[in-house]
Amino acid sequence: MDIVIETRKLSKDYMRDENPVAALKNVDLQVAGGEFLALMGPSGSGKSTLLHLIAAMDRPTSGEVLVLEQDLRSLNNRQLARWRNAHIGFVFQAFNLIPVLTALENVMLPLKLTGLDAKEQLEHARTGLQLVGLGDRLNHFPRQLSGGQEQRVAIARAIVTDPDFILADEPTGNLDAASANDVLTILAALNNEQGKTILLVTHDPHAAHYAKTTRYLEKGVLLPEGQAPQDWMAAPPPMPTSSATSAVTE
Amino acid sequence: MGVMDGGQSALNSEIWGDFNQISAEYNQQDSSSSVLLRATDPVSLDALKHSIEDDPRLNASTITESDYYHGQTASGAPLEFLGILVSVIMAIGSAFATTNIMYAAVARRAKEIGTLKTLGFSDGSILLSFLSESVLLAALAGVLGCLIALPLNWVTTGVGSMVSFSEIAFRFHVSIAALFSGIIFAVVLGAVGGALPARAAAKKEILSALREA
Repeated sequence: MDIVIETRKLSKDYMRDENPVAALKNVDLQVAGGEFLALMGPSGSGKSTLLHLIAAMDRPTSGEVLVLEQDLRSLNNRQLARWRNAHIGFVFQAFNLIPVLTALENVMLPLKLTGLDAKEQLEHARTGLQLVGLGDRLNHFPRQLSGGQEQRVAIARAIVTDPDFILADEPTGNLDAASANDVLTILAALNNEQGKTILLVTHDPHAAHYAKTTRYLEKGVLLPEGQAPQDWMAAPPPMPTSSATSAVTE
Repeated sequence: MGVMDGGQSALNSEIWGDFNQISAEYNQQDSSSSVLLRATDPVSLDALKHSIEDDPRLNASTITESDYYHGQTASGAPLEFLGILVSVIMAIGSAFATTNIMYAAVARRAKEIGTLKTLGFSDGSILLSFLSESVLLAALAGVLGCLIALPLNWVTTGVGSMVSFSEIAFRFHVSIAALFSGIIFAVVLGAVGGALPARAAAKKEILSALREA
């Protein structure tokens, strides 16, 4: 399978009180197309930082990020914006829907930057919302939706442009258990049924069990495959991942 | 008893009556400050002017009615200047107020800015959206201002002079051109006031914008 995401000796330092703090240290990661990878680690381990660098939301201190064989360092801000729109779908922990827009309008937002006409945008957005089980919530505003429904709208927004991969940053962090399962079921279905490459950042072992592969970060270092931090809590039993979006309940 | 009415014209600043009667009333029988004459035709106007000015017994100068009223209008220039000065001061204040409001909007919507940038909207798009918002709000405010000013149309008022005991009457005219200029002026103020906040929004780093919320 083709490598979709590759990082080489990727490092990121932040300045804190004029002292550099290493958030990531020489991370080498490869994600193949169609993979569902969970990046786990405790708070401050650098997993979100890694996700942000892959999404070109931040620039590395050193090292390379190759996405679809493209070195992101060669792109300027305008090109990066266009690249993000074309290639990635991002799911935030706090949903980040625009409160004054309806679910349908929120999902249509990324399509505004594409060449689709208004009618096509509407159709794509409607299909996206139907795919996450919200076909009957098209004209609801975020405040009229539950947290789980908001996150499903956010997933619809992430997939509506048919991106090459989906980056999800703690997508179940703000949800109750039932809603979290709904969201994870949708992500698993997108991976299983549509072959979407998904990179899921989480510190929840239960969420990670929906992924096909799990990698761990500890203090900015990516641990070798199959290795977890020694003090990492025992993971709960895996949850089924083969369900389709029809399993989503309102 | 009666009502003096100059028909909403400049004549409203004057009292017209019988010369002898008013002269007697004000004890001014021997003199008059001005006399209004009408030439039979434009050609004879010069002859009339010369005959008055050249007559040493009259000791009078002549001026056409239009020049006379033009002079009267010129005396309102300080008032006009004052109006413009107040407008400019208020415009500067409005521009700062717009800047302040838009900076607050940028701060309040930092998370949205970060989200939009993550979705692929460029710095230019963000700048344009905030600038458009500022301009549209300003245009709306301009239209509202025009609506508020409309009742002043054709209102006549005046300013009195305690030195000459005279009054200059003037009338507000809210013309289409004035309304149009007002809205354009408001739009320009919106663009000027919103430029810096829009730039600040566009320059926000994605991650810092997302964390600001």
